[in-house]
Amino acid sequence: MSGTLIKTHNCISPADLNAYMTGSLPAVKRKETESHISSCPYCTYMVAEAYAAVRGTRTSPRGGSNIMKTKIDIWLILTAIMFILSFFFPKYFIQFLVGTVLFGMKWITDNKNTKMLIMIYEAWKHGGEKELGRVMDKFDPKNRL
Amino acid sequence: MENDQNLKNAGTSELVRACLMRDGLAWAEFISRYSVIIERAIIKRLKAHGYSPAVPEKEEIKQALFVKIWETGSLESVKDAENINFWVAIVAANFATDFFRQRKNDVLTNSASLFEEIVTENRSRVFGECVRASSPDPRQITNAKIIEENYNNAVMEMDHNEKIALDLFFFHEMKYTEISSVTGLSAAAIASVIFRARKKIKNSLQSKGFFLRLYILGGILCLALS
Repeated sequence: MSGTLIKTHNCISPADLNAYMTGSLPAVKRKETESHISSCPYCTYMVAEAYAAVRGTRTSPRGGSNIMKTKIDIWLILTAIMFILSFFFPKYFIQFLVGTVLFGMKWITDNKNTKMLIMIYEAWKHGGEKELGRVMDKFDPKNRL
Repeated sequence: MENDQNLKNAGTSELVRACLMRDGLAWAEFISRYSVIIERAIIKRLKAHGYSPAVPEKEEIKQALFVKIWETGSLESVKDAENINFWVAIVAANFATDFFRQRKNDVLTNSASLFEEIVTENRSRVFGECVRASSPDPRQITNAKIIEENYNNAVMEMDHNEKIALDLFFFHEMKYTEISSVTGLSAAAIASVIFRARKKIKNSLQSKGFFLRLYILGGILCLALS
């Protein structure tokens, strides 16, 4: 996946896409068409959209939700609570700190919320603080559309 | 009357040929046969642009499309096809984009598609962002970006048809049976390809995520102990 939806002069014509999708392309031409579609997000999108329009199914071309879903990360919340409480109850500082470590260990070995961390990390890596701010803004429930 | 009945029972290529010969009854049948698909394609494309058309607008686009097909004789390219449903859907969607561009923004004067315009604004934008500039859930936009970055490794060893299947599954959320009817691969083969790719992507993400968490926890502990 190149990552951008750009139509090029090599893109498959609607007639050939139709033939590809109905299985009526000759074998050689079909191979060529497959080769192009597999590396062309624009044509893949056309295929998916046309299929959805003809079959009357939904199309969700934003991607990724088949892989994993974001869930509330309970272990991170508990880690943070333990950490904060350790300052409010100095007498039990060590106990709360141990709790922080335990919940923290649970959090780092838990796979549920990997995606959010990766997003933050990638945003920071690619765009610095500006990009990170943009991603974090998007996570703010108030900013969701 | 008899001719009308014949057209109703006519095969697609027969109907298309009649349309190309400017047969009025054939056109009426063509419109009746493909109106639903065209309308769906128009709505889907406009929604992809974050725009919900009103009923009169949909009708206007549909009528304009039929006029264009009539005037340009574009049916010529599919005159031998026995099934032109997908062609109709693609042409309708592309027409909706052009119509939307003209209606929405007179500033865009060149002939590039709206997709190209969106992409040109910022080359680094990802697939998901380009398709849905006003996606309702920004998490899914960045999600697509992450998946894409780990995606190339996962699909490297797969053949073209398998890559198409993966794209349709991961980026367009199509079902196995739907992918099977497009690619010609069996549902079992698709399941196997997806399983392999998913495993690779997941492993890659998990290893990154584990170390990130380790760093963050280390940071928290350092802060607590300092």
